[in-house]
Amino acid sequence: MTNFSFRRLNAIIIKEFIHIIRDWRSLSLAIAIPILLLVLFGYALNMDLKNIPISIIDKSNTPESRELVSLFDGSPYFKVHNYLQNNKQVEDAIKRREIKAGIYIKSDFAKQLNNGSDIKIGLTVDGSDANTGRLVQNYTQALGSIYNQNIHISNNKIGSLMLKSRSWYNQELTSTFNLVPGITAIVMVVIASMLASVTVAKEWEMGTMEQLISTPIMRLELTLGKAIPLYIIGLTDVLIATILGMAMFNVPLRGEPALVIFIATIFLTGVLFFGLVLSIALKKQVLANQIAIISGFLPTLILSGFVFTIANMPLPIRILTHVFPARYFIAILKSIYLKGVGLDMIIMNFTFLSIYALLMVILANKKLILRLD
Amino acid sequence: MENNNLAVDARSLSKSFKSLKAVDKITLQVKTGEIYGVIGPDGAGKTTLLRMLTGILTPDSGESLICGYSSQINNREVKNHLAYMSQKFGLYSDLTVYENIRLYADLYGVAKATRDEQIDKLLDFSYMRPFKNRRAGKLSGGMKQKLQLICALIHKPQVLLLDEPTNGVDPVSRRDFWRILYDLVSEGVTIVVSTAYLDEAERCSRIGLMNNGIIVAEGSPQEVIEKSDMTIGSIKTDNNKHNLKTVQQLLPDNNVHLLGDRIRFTSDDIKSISIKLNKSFQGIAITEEPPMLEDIFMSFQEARDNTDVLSLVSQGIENKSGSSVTTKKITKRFGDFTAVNSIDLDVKYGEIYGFLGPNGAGKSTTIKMLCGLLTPSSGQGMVGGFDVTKKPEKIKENIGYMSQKFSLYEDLRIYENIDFYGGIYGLQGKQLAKRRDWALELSGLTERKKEMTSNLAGGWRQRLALACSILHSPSIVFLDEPTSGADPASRRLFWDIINRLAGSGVTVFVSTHYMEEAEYCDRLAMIFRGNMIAHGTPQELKENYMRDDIINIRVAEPQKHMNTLANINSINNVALFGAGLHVRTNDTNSSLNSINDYFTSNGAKAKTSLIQPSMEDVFVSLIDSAEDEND
Repeated sequence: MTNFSFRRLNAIIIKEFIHIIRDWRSLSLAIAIPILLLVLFGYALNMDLKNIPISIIDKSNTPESRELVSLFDGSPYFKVHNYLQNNKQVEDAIKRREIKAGIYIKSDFAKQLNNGSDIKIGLTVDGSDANTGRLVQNYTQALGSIYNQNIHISNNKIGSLMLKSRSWYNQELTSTFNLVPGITAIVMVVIASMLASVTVAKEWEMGTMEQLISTPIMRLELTLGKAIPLYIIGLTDVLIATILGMAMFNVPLRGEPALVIFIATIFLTGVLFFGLVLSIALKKQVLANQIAIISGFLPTLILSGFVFTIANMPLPIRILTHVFPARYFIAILKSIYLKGVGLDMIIMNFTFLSIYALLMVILANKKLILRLD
Repeated sequence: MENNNLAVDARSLSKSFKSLKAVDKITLQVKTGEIYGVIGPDGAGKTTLLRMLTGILTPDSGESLICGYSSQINNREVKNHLAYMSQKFGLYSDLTVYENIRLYADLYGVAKATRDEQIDKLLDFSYMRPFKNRRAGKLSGGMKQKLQLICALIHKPQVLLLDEPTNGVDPVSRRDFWRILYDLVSEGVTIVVSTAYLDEAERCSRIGLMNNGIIVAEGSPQEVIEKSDMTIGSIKTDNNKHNLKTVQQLLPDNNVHLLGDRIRFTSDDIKSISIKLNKSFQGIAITEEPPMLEDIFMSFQEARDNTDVLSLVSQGIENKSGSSVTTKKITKRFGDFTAVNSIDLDVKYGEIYGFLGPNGAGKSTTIKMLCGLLTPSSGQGMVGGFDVTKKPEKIKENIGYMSQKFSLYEDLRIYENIDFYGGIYGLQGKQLAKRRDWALELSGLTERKKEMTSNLAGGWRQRLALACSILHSPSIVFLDEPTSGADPASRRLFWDIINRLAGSGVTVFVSTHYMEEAEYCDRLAMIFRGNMIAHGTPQELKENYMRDDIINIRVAEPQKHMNTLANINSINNVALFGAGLHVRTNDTNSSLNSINDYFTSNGAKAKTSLIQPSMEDVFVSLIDSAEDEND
């Protein structure tokens, strides 16, 4: 057996790079996608969050209730449109599309607050715009808990309940902060499905594979040679997403940049080789590409916790999310970006990610047969 | 290693695909320095055999050794010693010539210090240096094949396995390609080559004739011909094309066909043939001629009686007369590149009009404009009474078009493809059923009609494509290299069909790289770099455009004498032709003397004769002088 040759690996890498560079459509798409997604998701998720018009029914009319109202009015998310007397008026206002929600503060609000018992605030939401409705609900809960927390702090009471509310708050209120990790994952999966899934199949379809396998090339040389150029493009996209995220949406990178690159490498290896496995096994460009989109891109979008919160999903779907590596990747990235944690804190997710990557590399090389039969 | 002298040593190789035995216990031994030709009809198993020798296909049983290493067990070592050239263009269109070669140099581990020097040497050797930085996708067919050969040669392999390397390549490029092969052999390289061109087979040191997965005859081309005990007769009549049908009817079992300027047939019993022929052609002289490989080739194939099928060809065709296709200064430009430059045509119904020219000369572009597929940049064209610019959709209804690329759906069954094309042309119900049966019969695929089209080997696909293109009985048919890569039997059938079509008043446009086929056309146009550089009947072309005489030389190992002969003053050009040489000269006597002197002094047995130029001579000479004018 001849040994692994870096010369041959290099020859394949150069060839693949030329393919990518000369196919300017794919290349510009690969660069444009992170920018496009970031802008699209960034603004789409952002716009409805600001200055949502609401009405207030303040039956309590106490300093405490007014404090709560000012908390709403003072937040960037809500704007008090008017004060009304009953729910009927709120419903009419919603129907007239003047407001998105009405908040009902009961007359015993201040009394209950001082008793330390459960406080209930009535909320009427415009259900016709489901997304905004859901967000209003979440924000109201979040603001409510801020208000509650303030009371608690001033009363020097410590409640464990508050911590839970707070995590709620982080997850939904700062959705732009989720954007960069999520989009990074999606971009990489797109590259894997768009470029990696066709690269081997194309050689079979064009007939170039027959010529290639008549040379002493080895499997690992071919798979690595095809993956490395795509890896470099993927990493460039991580960079673009991070910088754009900082510049456009002030998404902080609190953790180690080197750690981000390291994790991205592991994730990319997994998804790129997943694309290669499809390409190798199916030998048809269109088919491999479609399956890559269905089994790679869509689950990453839907089941990774990027757009929809995993905790809110029904149990079977929640279990399903564990199959897709993007889930772990996004979880890790969020931790690094927002909390600035190190490798020790993310070891579980990291382990899963590594196992996936390793499996894919092995599978791709096992499946690749350098013969015609 | 058991025998150092054997470059290729294959023992009872077998390979089946499902129930089909593609290669059946083939034993093949090729000595170092030989050119071994694998020839045989479509689907004989040639490609499967070569793939197994290379080691990229695993045989069901048997073993093959290349330079003493097993292709099956020690495949890596084998790959370092051999080079394989696949039938399909296997290089990267978006890489330049240099980048492709460099890739293969690196894959084979060619010493880096001498890599670029080696590449330049090969580029010079193949006259490809000027195209070093051109993208491979933009090369002509002939140049692509040369590039693939260079990539195969970069690591100085000892054995070359070439799968139909000159398929669809024009005669000038083919000569060039073989010159390179001969040079390699003189350096000790062993070559195994499969080919559909039997003149190329004649150049091999030995050939193996394959049929149904076995080698049915083997030896030097001469031996194979002699062993066959075959005799061939031919007659010349005033109108061969017209008389062919009559002769075929008189001699139904004698493989009657047109070749060049004569009607040929097998003649085991010349007396009885003479009697039969005299019924229609009184006092006709039968010339006996030596059999060619093609005759042997045909004799191994089951004779198929095509009379019924052929008689159906003309069914439903409206008999029209007058001009079917006329163009005035028709021109097509792509950007600043003029693909077709101001071509005038006037073709009548019932005419077979041939387009000749090197790859990329503009033949296909012209055909596509006439079919209404491309809009001319300027000039006019009328096809079947419709303007190509204004009424392309009307033209499409009235013509048949067979493109160079395989245009049928591989994922449909054979009959489904026919039904689809029938449907497009508005055939329905009984009429469609009738034409479907006819098309299946014509393509010889009646029994295989339910197979997937992807299963068909090259020549069969072409037959099916032809049948589909004339399904709707069009009165003008465009065939773009219909016989490219088809075996001799398929080609003969194609030309029988073309002749029948023309006989019933159909205009047939056909482009081809087989120069003997050019002789079957009523008129020819020679296209070169977008210009029509010559046109007329085959005879006119030979008389009007050949200023030089042609001397035919039959000699063993002709390639060894080429350089010396080319240096003789009165000789303009020396080229390989079949197994011999053709010398072009404008001073015949002086050249004959010099040639004979040369062969006497060196002791080689050579036969020289002055001959009428063949179509290939005309072609090469025309291209040469056109190139001179351009340069």
